[in-house]
Amino acid sequence: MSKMLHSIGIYSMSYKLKNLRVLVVDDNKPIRALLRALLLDLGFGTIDAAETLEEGWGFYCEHKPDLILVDWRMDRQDAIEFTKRVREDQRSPAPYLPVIVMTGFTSKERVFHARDAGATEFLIKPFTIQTLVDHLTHIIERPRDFVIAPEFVGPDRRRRSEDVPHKKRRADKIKNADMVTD
Amino acid sequence: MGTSDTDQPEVIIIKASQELKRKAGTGGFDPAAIKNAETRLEAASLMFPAAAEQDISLIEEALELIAAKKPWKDIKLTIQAATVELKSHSIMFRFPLVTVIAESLLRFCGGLTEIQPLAGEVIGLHLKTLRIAINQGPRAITDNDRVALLSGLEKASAKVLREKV
Repeated sequence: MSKMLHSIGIYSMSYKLKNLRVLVVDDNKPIRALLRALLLDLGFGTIDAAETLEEGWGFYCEHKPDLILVDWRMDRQDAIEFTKRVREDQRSPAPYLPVIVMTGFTSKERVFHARDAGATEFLIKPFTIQTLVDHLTHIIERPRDFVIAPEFVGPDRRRRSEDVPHKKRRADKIKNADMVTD
Repeated sequence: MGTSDTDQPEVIIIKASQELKRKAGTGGFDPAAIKNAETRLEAASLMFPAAAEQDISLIEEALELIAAKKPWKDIKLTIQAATVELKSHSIMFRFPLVTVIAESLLRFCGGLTEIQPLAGEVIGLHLKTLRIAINQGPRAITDNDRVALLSGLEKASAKVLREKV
């Protein structure tokens, strides 16, 4: 739709991303700089780029971004710990914000591990710009309910929100995120 | 008849926030912005050597640990993690020769349950070949690469893995 409108000279219909702030956490300096530049190209207003998870946590608490991209190396669990911290730490300023975990090593177990840690999306490297855009669009257009349970805190792991037939959804309380966070 | 609702742990559902959507508005990503990002990514090939350096260094450090006869399990994970990063970045930045060498190294390390004699030399050979490939810049794989570089790695890897058995 956006392409069609642009092709006939209507330029006003696209996201206003200048209002959005993104945190990128990646220990590879050139990749970190590239991601920052790509996100700025795509229209995001402010990009904080952190080398370490501790630095990332500092940026997160100080600036409260709208979205986080965190790189997960195969030999470390710190990206997973960071995601869990965002979701569960009592000092976390925005526990419901979208977290995209990026990784070059894929397996079903790793996808589930990231999901169960509270990741919103899982982005496999190498990715194209279009793949990145698709994930970001999905996050913007289809935000998911957030589940707080004894053994899991994070976006609803079911992509669909309708109830399973003949079973009651085991939610004791339903709250409105915008009332909780604003 | 089973447990009552009062025995179930509390589950709270927070309805999805519309904050991001409110801030972003409608219309999708600007196609011109996507094009700019794609152009930047295509032009970023020249930054691959710098991006690869960190992972190359990790493999070099792993070789020193092998020489010091440290336990293979942790060394293997370090090499695999660094090589996976090299592989994924080499695809993004279009260094197909690096991709193939990285795949060879991953296969070799995956086949080793313990460090074998000459395994360090084979990993070192992969490392040397990776450096050559990175320095030659982004380009397609040639027949000469297959003959001069890749078949040598394959033979060396197979020899060490056969001896393991």
